[in-house]
Parts: sequence; C-alpha cells; structure tokens
Amino acid sequence: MAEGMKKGLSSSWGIIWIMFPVSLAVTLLKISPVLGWLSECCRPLMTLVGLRGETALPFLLGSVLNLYVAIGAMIPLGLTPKETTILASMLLISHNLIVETAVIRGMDAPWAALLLLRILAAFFMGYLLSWML
Amino acid sequence: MDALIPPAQQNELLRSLLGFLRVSGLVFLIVTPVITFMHVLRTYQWFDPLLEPIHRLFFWMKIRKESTVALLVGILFGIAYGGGVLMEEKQSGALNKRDALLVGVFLSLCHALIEDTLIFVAVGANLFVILFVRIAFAVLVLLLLARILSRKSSLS
Repeated sequence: MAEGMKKGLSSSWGIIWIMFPVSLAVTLLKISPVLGWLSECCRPLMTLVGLRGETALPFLLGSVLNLYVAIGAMIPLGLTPKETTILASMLLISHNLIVETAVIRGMDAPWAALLLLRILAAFFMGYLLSWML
Repeated sequence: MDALIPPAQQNELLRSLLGFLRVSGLVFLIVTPVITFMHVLRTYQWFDPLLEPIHRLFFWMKIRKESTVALLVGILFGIAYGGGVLMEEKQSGALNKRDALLVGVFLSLCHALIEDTLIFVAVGANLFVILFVRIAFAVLVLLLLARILSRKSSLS
C-alpha cells in the first residue's frame, strides 16, 4: 500500500512535469503567429469533428506521444467543455500509437489494420459527438 | 515588465499558468489514488475474481476463457502497461488467432478505462460521454466483427 502510494505520488509529479514544458511551449506558440498558421492549415480537417484548427496540435502530439503531452497542449488553448469532450474522446481512442502498436504487434494481431482503425475511429467518434453534443 | 511583454500577451501567459495550476492540482488529486489503487490491484492480483464476470459479460465475443486475462488487463491497465502480460498470453498459447484479433480490436478502441478516463475528467471532459459512448462504440464494432467472423467460419 505504502509502495503504491509512493508510486502514485511520483506518477502525478512526473505527469505534472511533462505537462509544464508542453503547456509553456504551446502558450508561446499561441503568442507567436505560428499557432495561427497551423490552425489555418488544419482547419478543414478539424472542422469535420466540430473543433478549431489548433486542436490538431494536441491530437497529433497525443497520438504520437502520450495523453499527458496532449493534455499539456490542451491547457493553453482554452477549449470549451464540448470541445474538450470531443477531443478527449478522440484522444482516448488514438494515443501513444507507436508504443501501443508495438504491443498489438506482439499479440500477433493485425497491427497495421488496427492502427488505421484507431485513427479512423477517432475521427468517426469526433464526427458523431460533434452532432450529438 | 510592462515594457518587455505587452499586456495582451501577459494575459495569455497568466491564463495558461492558471489553467496549468488547476489541471495540475486535479491530476494530483485524481491520479495519485488511482495509481495507488492500480498498483495494489496489480501487486496482489486482486483482479482474479473479475475474470469470471468479465468472461460472462463478453459472452457474445465467444472468446475462450484463457483469453479473458488479456482482455481484463487491457481494460484495466491499458495496452502499454499491460503489454508484457498481453504478449505473454500470446506466447503461452492462451490467446489463439481469432481471440487475438477480437481482443486486439476491442482494446484498440477501448482500454485503460480508469486512469485515462479520469485524467480527461480533470481537464473538464464529460465523464459519461467519454466513458460510455466509447464503450458502446467498441462493443458495436466488435459485434459486427464477431458476426462477420462467425459467418466466414460457417462458410468454410
């Protein structure tokens, strides 16, 4: 129990220190014109799921890296509850793809098809929720 | 300070900092007990009694009882965490080809239901939507797949 507690505390601490630099970096991007450019070019794709263009950044970061990085990047964007719920649902399906696809491969499941399934399912879910919510 | 950073950008930094502090506090409050609980669960293998109900709950997948371990570990701890167990299940032969496909598809869409879900609740997502709509979606895809597979095997 004590060991679990220690592990819990160090995990929280670790997560907070992953989020901090990402949040800071995305805030700086937001102040600079870079986030605006990125938003502009991702707008057509993200509009499909009822989100603003700049949400492509946390989605991409979360898909390739992990959820904590994605959350760090979500904080400075100031998303509404609806946007947060849509993006969260998409990220819960499509995250940490490099590591997790390696595991799926080890399970001897068709990893390439499942990788594609996860990305498509994430967008399908986002599309669905943008209508439902 | 005012001369160095224009007020609008100061506001942006301040807003991000406040958001970060709020989420950090929530992460601390939510993740610490969850990880503690999961650690205890894993160390003492307390999830054994869950195997039978999970197997029954997923009866429509028609997977073997041995494959339920992989499913349960993935649902509770996630693919990355449960990776070792998942690969072991495959190598030990507990997971056959059909079960690996079905469990793989389900877990691809739906895994680490406790920790990952709660961390998004900390950021302000709707718990009901991100948990139940996701599960419903995964179950629907699986029902479809299980149907296709059984049709295929009845043809051959």
